[in-house]
Amino acid sequence: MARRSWQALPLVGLLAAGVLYPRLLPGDYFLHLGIVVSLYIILTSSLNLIMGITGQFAIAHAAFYGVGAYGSILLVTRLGVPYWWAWAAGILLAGIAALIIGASTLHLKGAYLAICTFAFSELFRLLLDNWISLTNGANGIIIRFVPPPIGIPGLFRFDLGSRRSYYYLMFTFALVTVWFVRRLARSDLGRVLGAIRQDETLALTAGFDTRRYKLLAFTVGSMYAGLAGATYAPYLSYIAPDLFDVNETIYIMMIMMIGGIRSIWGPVWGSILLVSLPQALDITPLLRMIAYGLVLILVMIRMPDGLAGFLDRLVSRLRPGGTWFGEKA
Amino acid sequence: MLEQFGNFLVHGLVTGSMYAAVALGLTLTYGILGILNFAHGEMLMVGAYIAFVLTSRLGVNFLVAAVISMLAVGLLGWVIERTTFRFARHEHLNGLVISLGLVAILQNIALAIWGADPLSIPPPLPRTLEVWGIRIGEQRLLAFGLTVGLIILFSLFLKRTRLGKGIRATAQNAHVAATLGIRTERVVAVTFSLAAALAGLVGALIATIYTITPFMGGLPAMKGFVVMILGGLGSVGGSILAGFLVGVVESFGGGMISSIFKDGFGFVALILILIFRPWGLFGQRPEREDV
Repeated sequence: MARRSWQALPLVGLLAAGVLYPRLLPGDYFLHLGIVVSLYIILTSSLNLIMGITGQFAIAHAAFYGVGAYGSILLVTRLGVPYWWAWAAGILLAGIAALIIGASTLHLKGAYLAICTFAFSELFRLLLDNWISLTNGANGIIIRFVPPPIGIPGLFRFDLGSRRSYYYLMFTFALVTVWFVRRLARSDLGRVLGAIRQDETLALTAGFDTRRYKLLAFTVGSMYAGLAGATYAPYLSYIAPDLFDVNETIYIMMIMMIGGIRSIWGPVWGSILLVSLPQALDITPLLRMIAYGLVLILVMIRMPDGLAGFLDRLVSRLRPGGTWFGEKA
Repeated sequence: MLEQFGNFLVHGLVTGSMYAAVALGLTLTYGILGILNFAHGEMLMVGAYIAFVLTSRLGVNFLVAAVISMLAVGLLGWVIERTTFRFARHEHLNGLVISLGLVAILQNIALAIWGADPLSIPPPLPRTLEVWGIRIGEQRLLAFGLTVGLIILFSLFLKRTRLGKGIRATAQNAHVAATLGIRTERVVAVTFSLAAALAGLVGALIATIYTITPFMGGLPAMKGFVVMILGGLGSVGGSILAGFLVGVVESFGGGMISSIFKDGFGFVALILILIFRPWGLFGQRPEREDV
C-alpha cells in the first residue's frame, strides 16, 4: 500500500509544478511557453508510446497532429459543428487515419517503415496544400472563434477566453497523457508492446498477435497527437499545412530523443529544455541555431539516453538502483 | 504526342540520375553506419556554394570547380564522420538526431555567409538542343552525363577494387569483416567521405540548373531516402534503378496528371510497391517472413 502511494509521487510532483508555474512566473509570455511545453509533452509522450515502447520507427506523427487540427477546425468552420463535438471528431479522425495507415505499413520494419510513413505524411501535406477549396491551401486557415467554456459544473471550468485557462487545459491534457502512457507501459499490455520491440518473432511465438498490438499502440498514440492538434489549433488561431509536415515530426522526435527515449519522464524534460532553450539563448538567431545544433550533437554523443538517462546515472551514483528521473518503460 | 512522351522520358531520366546519385550515397551511409543521414542534403548544398564561389567569384572553369567541390565536400564528410557519427554507429535514432544537429549548423553557417537570397551559377552550356522534337538544355545533358559516368565509376569501384569489396563486406557484417582483417574503422570513414563527395558533385551540377539557397538540400535528401527504400536497402543497383524510376514517374505524373502533385507520385509509387515487396525492389528478402 505504501509502495503504491509512493508511485504516484512523480505525477503529483508534475501536477504541483504545473499548478505553481503560473504563480512563480507570471505574465502572458510565460503562460505561452507553458502552453507550448504542454503541447510538446502530449506529442512526445504519445510518440514515445509508438516509437520508444513499441519500437515502431514511424515518422508521421505530425500528420495525425494535423488531422486533429484540420479535422476539428474544418468541422466547425465548414459545417458549423459545435467546437467540443468537432474536437472529439478530430481525435476520432486521427484514430481512423492511423488505423488505415498503420494497417498498410506496420508490417514493414526499420527504415522501410520510417520512409513509407514519411511518404504518407508528405501526401497528407500535399493534400492540404492543393485541396484549396476545402483547406485554403498553403495560405492556411485563420480561426476566429473562441472555444466555449468546458468543465464539470460545481467542480472546475475552463473558460477559454483567457490564456491562463488555456494553459490549465493544455497542462491537464499533458498530465493525462503522461499518466496514460505510464499506466499503459506498466500494464500487461505494455509488457507485450515491450516484447514486440525487443523481439517481435518471439512475441509472436508466445502467442501474441503482434500485428494487432502494434496497430493498437500506433492508433492510440496517434489519437493523442490528434488531441494535441484539436486542442491547440484554436489557441494558435491559425493553421497551415507546413505546421504539420515531416519537419514537425522530426522536431517531435528530436525532443523525445533529447529528453530520453523509452523513459516516461524523458518527454517532459525534453519539452521543457527544447522549448525554453532557444528563448534562453539570448543571441542572434543565426548563432542561436548553430548553438542549438551543437547542443543536439553533444547531448546525443555524451548522453545517448537523453537527459532522463543522464540524470538517472547521476542519481544512481548517490543511491544505487534508483531511477528518479527516467522511469525506463 | 510521341514527342511529348519523349520529352517527359528524357527529363525524367535527367532528374532520375541526380536522385540515383543522392540515393547511392545514402544507401552506402545507411549500410555502413546504420543511420538515416538527414545532413546528406547539406553536403549537396555545400558543394553548390563552393562551386558558386569558385566559378562566379574566382573565375575558375566550371568542370574544375565541380571537381574541387567534390574533393572539398569529401573532406568535410571525413571530418564529420570522425567528429560526430563515429560515436553513434548503429544507434539509428541518436545518429538521426546528430544529423539534424548538423543540418542546423550547416544551414545557418551558409545563411550567415551567403544569406537567404537564391544564387545561381550561369550554365557553362546555355544552349538548348532539339532532336526529334525533344528539347533539352545542353547543361542538363552535361549534368546527366557526368552523374551517370560517376555512378558507373562508383559501382565499378565497389565491385572490383579491394577497398570497394571491404566497404561491401563491412556493410554486410562489420564484425566478420573486422575478424577477416578489414580495417572497418577506416572503411567507415572512407565510405562516408565518398558518399559526401558524390553529393558535393551533384550539388555543383544542380547549381547550374536550379538555384542555390541554404535550404536547397532538404528536398533532394527526402527524395534520396524514398529512392533508397524503393530500391531496397543494401542494393547499389536497386538505388540506381529506383532513382531513374522515380525521376521518370514524377516527370510523367507531373506532366500528364497534375503538375502541383508532381512530388507526390514518387511517394505513391513507393507505398504501392512496398505493399507487394516490403523489402523494396532489389533489397535482401528476409529469410523467413516474420509476420
